[in-house]
Order: sequence, then structure tokens, then C-alpha cells
Amino acid sequence: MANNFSRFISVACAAIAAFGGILSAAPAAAQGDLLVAPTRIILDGRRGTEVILSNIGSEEATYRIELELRRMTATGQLIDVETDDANELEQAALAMVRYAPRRITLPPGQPQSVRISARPGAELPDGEYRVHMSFRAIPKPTPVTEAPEDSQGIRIKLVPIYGVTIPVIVRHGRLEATVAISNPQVAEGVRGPELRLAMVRNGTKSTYGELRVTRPGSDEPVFLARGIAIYSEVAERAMEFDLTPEQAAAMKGQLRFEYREMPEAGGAVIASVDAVLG
Amino acid sequence: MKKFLRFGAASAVVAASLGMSSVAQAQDTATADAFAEILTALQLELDAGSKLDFGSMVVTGAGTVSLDADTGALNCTAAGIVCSGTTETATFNVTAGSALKDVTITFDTPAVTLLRSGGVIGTAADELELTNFNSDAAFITDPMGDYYEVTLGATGLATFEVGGDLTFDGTELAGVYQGSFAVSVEYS
Repeated sequence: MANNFSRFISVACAAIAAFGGILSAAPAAAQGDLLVAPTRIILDGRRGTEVILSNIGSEEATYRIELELRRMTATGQLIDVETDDANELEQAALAMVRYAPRRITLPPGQPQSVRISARPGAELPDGEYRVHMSFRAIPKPTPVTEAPEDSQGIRIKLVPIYGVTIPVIVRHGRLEATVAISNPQVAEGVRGPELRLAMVRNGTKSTYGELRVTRPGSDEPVFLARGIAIYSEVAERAMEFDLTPEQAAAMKGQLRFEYREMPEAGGAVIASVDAVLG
Repeated sequence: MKKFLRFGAASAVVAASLGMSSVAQAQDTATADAFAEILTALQLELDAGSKLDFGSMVVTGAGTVSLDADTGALNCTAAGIVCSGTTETATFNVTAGSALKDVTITFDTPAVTLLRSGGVIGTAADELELTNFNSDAAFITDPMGDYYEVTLGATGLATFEVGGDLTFDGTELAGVYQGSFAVSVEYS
């Protein structure tokens, strides 16, 4: 297993290095650009996995990897939660997820994997535990700037510190969830026509999938939104999707709304509803 | 759409389409004992050469200078402030495997204090405030706090601009003021 794994990693790295090489041939990117794969991690507590971090910028960069907490709101926003404000579930999640390394310096085009695993305690109640792993470049100290040409003026030098977070979900025990789609409608929003609906989730597990809107007798969706997560702290998610005028025009009459697992996860229907829209 | 590959067997052959402009697909010509796992990747880049740039200002009184990420326009109407030079909002490119997915954009700190190069921390004449980070991304109202979100396009790519407000108390000395601001893309 260990052998297979290391071979797996080395081949993966070679492939990624080639990938990075192609990218860095593009016009000079800034220091701190990054690529993270995969974009969601689901652990069952038995086996670990790894996340690949690659420097796709044009300069060497040091990245800091941290575990953070987020809570999803009813509109789907991910709100930062300070460790001091963490509830029991969140504290347990932080305590059980292990990862290394926590700081990586990478030359341009270079990937490295971060090992991650979860060790839920034996007495831990069944449930879904989640942290968000953040990857962020640490800016290099800026050299002392020369005096501005116009000595009367004020100039501003801003360094963006930017990064991404991805969810790390630990599923412990037997979990299930059901979802119902309610009240789909097309309405006029601030930016134009919008599809609005709510998804009501029940159970102990989060769900992840795509929303497909189809007309009877057609498999081709008139509207598709992917990667819709409803985390376990959310009982009902209100959703608004911007529509093109064509999509809005097509969303009339008899329609079928389906929330399905992502195609790579099997595409099973999680929830569906038939509705007639004016 | 950006996909990421890792191969399980040495005999796996990676086709050259990896990472190329639009669709990166695996053309796996390996024999039956190979396995390939396609990983979706999430990328965040500052657009090449892009920066949040307010140009230069001559300050004789208190006021605010705003850069609107939606229009790119600089608002420099305060009586005590004269703005000049080119301005720019910072452009970020986010790419992920899932097209048509919404991702949240957050500014980690609501306010950033910029310090004059050579100045002293805590001295009013050496500091100014950068606040009200804004983006051209969709603004979503939420009882728990409003936020920005972008929808990844059909190719998995989205671009957003970042602007903000500079607040002067009018005592600032001429010079270069430095600081950093944080932008996060939250994948769900």
C-alpha cells in the first residue's frame, strides 16, 4: 500500500509539474497565485487523503495552510466563525482533523501534497463534522520604497493577500438526509430575471449536487446550476439564480426541478418537484 | 473547465491537452491496469499586472477617495483632496472544475490601516484607512451580513474586481503608504 501510494504521488507530481509548466508559460502572473485540488474533501475517518497545492504564479511563494470554521447561512453564504465562538460540533471537527505540512514554500509551477486525515474518537456521536481548509500566500516583505516623484503627493502601495478555502467534511456513523424543493418562481431581481426557490433539508448529512430545470419530454436542461451545497447546519436554503432573458423566457409552463447528486457522484435524484410557472 | 489529474499506474500516458486554454480533458491511453482519478481544481490568480491603485493624491483636508469596482470610476470630490494619475481596481480570476457554481468572495478584514513608509505606527499623520471593500461580483443581501458571490461561467472561470475607500483625516504627510488587504474565495 505504502509503495503504491508513493508511486501514485510521484506520478501525480510529474503530471502536475507538467501542468504547472504549461501554466507558467502564460503571461507573468503575480506572486501568490495558487491552485488547490480537489475542491471538496470527504473523510470517513478510516483513510486519509491528500490535497494538492500548486504555485501557479511566476515567483516563489510561501503558503500557509490553516483550518478555519465557516457556517452556512440560509442564502448560502459561508460566514467565518472564530474558534472562541465554535459550538461543540465545530470544536470536535477542529480537534479531529490532522494535516501536514502547514507551511509550504514552492517555486513557480511546483506542486506539493498536503496529507490530511481525521481521527474521530470512539465516543464521538454520529454526525457530520466540517472544517474549511484555507490556503493563503504569505506576502513577501516589500522593499523600502523610493520617495515618490511628486514629493507633495500621497501614493498607496497595496499588497493583496489572497487565498481559497475548501470544505473538509468528516462523516462519522450512519448519516442520511432528505431534501425538498419548494416554491420555485421566476421574479425580477436587481440584476434582471431570477429563478428563486427554497430547498428544505432534513437529516444529519449535508447534500451536494446540481439543480436541473427541464421541460417535459426533454433531457436538455433549460437551466443548470452546479455545486450546490446544503450543509448540515442549514435547514432551509433560499436560492436566487440570475437568468439570461432566454432562460427566463424558457422557464414558463410545465417544468421539472431536480436536485441531483453531481454526475461524478452518480447523479442520483435527491429531490424533485413539478411546477407550472406563469 | 479546469480538471486536475492524478494517475495511479506508471503506464498511464498523459495527453498534452492538460491545462490548455479551455477544456482540459484526460485522454487516457493507458492499459487496463491503470486508473486515473480526475480531481477538480480550484485556482485563484491576481490578473497579470493588476493591482488596486488609487493613483496619487495631494491632501490638504479630510475626505474620502473611493474606487468603485463596478464601474472602475474614482470618486475624488472631497474639497481637500486632489487626485491624479491612473487608477485601477484589482482583478482576480477564479477557476474551478465546476461550471455554473456560485462561490463566496470575502474580504477578511473590514478595515486596513496603511502606514507611511518611514512613518510611525499610531501616528495620525502617518496612517490612513482603507475600508469598504467592494466588488463587481453579485451583491447578495443576507440577514447575517451582506456579501459578494460570483458564478463560475460555462468554462468554470469567473473574474471579479476589487475596489475600496481611502479615508483621510487631512493631516497625512506626503509619501508612500503601504498595507495589505485580504481576499478569499470560499468553495462550498
